Amino acid sequence: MKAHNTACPRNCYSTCSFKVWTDNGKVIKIDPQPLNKATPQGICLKGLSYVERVNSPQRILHPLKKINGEFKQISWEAALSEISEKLQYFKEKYSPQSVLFYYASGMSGLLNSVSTNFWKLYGGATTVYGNLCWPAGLEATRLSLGENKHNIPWDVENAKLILVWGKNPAESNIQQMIPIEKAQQNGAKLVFVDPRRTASAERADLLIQPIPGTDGILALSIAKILIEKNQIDKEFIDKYVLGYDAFKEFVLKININEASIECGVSVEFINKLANFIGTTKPMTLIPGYGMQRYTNGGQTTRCLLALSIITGNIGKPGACWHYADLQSDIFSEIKEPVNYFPPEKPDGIFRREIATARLGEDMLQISDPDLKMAWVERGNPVTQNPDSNKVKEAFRKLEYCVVVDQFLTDTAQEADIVLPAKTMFEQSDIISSYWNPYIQLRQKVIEPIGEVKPETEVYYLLAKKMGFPDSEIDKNIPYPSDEATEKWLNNQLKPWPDITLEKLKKGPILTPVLQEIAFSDYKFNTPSGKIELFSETAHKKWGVNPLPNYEKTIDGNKENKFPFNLMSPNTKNRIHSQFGNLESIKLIDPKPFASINLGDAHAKGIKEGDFIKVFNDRGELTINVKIDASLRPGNIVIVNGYWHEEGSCPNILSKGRETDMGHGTAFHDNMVDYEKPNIK
Amino acid sequence: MRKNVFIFDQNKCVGCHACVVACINENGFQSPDQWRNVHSSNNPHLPQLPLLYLSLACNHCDDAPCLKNCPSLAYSRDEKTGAVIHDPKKCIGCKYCTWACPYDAPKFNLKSGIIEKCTFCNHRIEDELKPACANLCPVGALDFENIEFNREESVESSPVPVNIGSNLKTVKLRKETGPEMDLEIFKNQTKIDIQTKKHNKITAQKEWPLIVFTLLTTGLVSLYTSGITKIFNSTHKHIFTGFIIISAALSILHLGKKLRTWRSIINIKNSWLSREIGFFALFFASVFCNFYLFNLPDLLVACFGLLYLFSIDMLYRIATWRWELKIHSAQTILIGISLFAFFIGWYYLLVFIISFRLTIYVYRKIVITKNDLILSSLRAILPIIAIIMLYNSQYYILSLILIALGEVIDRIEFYNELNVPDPKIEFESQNK
Repeated sequence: MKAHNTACPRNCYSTCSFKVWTDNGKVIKIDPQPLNKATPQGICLKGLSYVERVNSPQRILHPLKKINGEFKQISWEAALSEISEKLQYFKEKYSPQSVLFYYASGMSGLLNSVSTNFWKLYGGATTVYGNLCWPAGLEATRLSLGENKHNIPWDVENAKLILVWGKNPAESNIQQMIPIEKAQQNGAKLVFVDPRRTASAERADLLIQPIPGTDGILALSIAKILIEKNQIDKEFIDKYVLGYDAFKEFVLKININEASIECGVSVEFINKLANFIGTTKPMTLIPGYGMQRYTNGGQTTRCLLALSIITGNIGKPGACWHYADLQSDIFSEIKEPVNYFPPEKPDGIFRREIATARLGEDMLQISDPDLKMAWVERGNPVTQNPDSNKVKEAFRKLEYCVVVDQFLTDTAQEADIVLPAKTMFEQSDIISSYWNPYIQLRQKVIEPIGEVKPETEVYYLLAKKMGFPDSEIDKNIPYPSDEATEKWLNNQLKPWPDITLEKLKKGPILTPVLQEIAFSDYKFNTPSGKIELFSETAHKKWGVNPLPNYEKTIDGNKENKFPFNLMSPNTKNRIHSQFGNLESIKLIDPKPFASINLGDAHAKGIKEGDFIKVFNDRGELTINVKIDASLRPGNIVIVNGYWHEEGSCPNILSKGRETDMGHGTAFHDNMVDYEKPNIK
Repeated sequence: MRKNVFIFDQNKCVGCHACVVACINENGFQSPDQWRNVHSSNNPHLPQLPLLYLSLACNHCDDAPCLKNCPSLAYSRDEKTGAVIHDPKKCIGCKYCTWACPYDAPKFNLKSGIIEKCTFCNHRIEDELKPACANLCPVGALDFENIEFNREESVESSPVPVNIGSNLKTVKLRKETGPEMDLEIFKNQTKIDIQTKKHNKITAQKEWPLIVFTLLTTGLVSLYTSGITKIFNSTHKHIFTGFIIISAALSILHLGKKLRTWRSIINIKNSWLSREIGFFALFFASVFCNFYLFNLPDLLVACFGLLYLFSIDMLYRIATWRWELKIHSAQTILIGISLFAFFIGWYYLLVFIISFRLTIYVYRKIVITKNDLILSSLRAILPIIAIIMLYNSQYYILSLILIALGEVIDRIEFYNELNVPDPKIEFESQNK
């Protein structure tokens, strides 16, 4: 038995360090790695389920080919020959851009860039711009503060007021509950803003429950109260903030009574929240990513951030805008969200004209050349992209599709060839995090199971098969061996002499550029060098109001014939569509369910355990009901990540739309209705 | 005294279930019931009430009821670590420990037919490691330590109100209310009564073989003791013996490991279940002896019968802990005496005992549990009619049927009213 240090490469805040035990080439056990101060006590239940995941009998261990609608095992030689022929054919007949290269956030690591290198060698491809997750908030923060960084995670302990706005760390970032609890032990106040009463909010002092999508007007009302009561940090504003006067003039015009009706929070409770913010310092404001996935998401984020700005809660211990910390991403030349944007001058190699937010629609519409083939890796777009019926339709229209995955996901089901994907234990790679400030090595600890090959090896073999020049292959794709992989990784580490693979094998290393208290130097990388409450760039680039303002969401207007907001948050039991298929997760979360409010349920004659039909113009699904007496009436919650196969993928109902800035995806802007289905 | 103790902090637990998966990784897949469970109070999220979580497996209690009550001595204590260990090779799968344990720690595995439970990760403790669940709680809510821990602290910490020296230390909530919320938002639901499914480990429906078994054997005991069997011809005797075999078979079929039935009587010293099975065996062995071999003194056989009925009542005591009135009208000893009086023809005794039982019955119906009115009145009226009918001897059999019917109703209600200490009920109703 041997223990190895590694780190979790899922698309999750925590990016936990952990130790994995192997015995005879098999992953058998997991232990905590206390060296990571952000995740000292261990990984979440999903991380623990890796023991099952890597050894799962459901895992794809060989190349599969769909023959008469059924997947049959084929050899690598046969699979690669067929793919190579198809690639040559589409390139010659239509052009390389008739092939869609799609990847998502399924597995992080620097070696992922090898994929892009392959497609460059191929002559290009069509890829997508934008991102499903967080760009609106990233862009809002970048426009205001110049960059995306926040205090080290354990600095939350120093806050006297923790305001968690639209985030459920108990499920999406469980280790954040550690410093929150410590702060509470030290007497800090904890306030949540969320239409749901989540596990995170149970120990809170106050829970404010606005109507989804109206957080902006709630924040602006509070700003008005703070300004009127002079509970702002005048000195901070004078020194570091651009556009305060314009902002003040703008918010003072807000009618609190009207705002209260708009956001569904009573004037009394708006005042309660304002009082906490106005009188308790330092404040750490922790916004989530859910509320920026609305059509007004970027501006909403700016409204919230304004509260941190005018109260001077930036750049000090315990005072922080805790959205995303990209300080450990030392490897990207262009950081998120800018690297999501379509290039101003296309390079002629990659066509980036498809928005990931409108994947289905854009795939169907794009022409010259039409899409003929898709290659999907690290993603499951048929489940996870909005308007998934349309995504499915677009995939079915293709002539040929290759999916690389560990399991037969909804997307893999649409493929002609499925190639087995490695797990995090079968190839080394380096990962950073957007929450904790560490650079980590995700170590290879076992040989790939079955016939699994890491993607870099697949690309290497495919490049050879396609007859790309050896010199180009050697430059762009590491030779399939552990030594070559390590050499490639060491090359990436060259600019950082203090970080070596040998050191990383011993545990996580703090990022060399770390500012523990973000913005403590009060340097803001904005055009004016100040915090921009008024952003000319926001107006020019995105056409929004240069000041943070509130716009109604598109779906959420009161005339909509579908009266319920569908919330599709993350659950602790899944990372998007990953993990739900495992037996150890099914024990805890056996079947999809929708949470609805007790009063709403009663009015419709629905009881706990009943099946309901949830529908709108885009589709419908049937799902079991759980009654939640603390969910704000008018809302229904179906967590994201259920597969079509399970019958309850919430993206059947969502609309492919971009956010107001950052090319994010506004799939939370989603109104539905539900009813008891007619018994047949 | 320093002891190995689980420490659970209610302020820290967010109900993430990592402990459950940690246990599975360490001890193998557990289905359908996991060794460790995460309970939550206030499942429907009632706005006025707090919600707390409880991660619970075995607390390796000092006075472990599983260990004491196990008829086959499958449980033992590891004196070094304090762990209560269940030996799968000795388990007969009678499930009595699942009634005895107030923390729902022993889990019956349908596939293997035996009990499984948390081992305290004894193998890890021996290597100076914490149990997997405590080792891997990502927020440090569940921990394990070797500390001074006295009985008072143990009782105070217990999520179920019992005093058995459970080794679970609970760090209680700092603030015993949920978050302040605007109740005005929820005014549309203030008058709605949430109907939650009643959870009960023991129900008449599930335990029907036990109902048949106890009623049948009680009938046989009374019949024999009344002396009627003295006039039995050999066919009668064969039928009587046949019923004994049927009831024995019923009780054996009830076990997960039928071939280990012999083990069920080896804990006579502590377990009422062992005693019950022991007296059952003695009584019917002596009846058999009297029928087919040689005569034993009647008083001795009657004593065995009486002790058998008494043992049945005693073994159900663990499931009557919440009862205000500890005596039940459908206790086997009372059923036994009634039938005995009927068979022997002591009708004054019959009237007396039936009146006594009806009094208890009616009291229970009015004051404690309100069941189906029609069924209850039927149960109350049946024996009265039966007694009146006895004035005319031609209705003897009909009268017996009516009495038996009343007993069946009462016994079914008895099973439905049993409830064992259960964290699912105790913890989830903590705030109500």
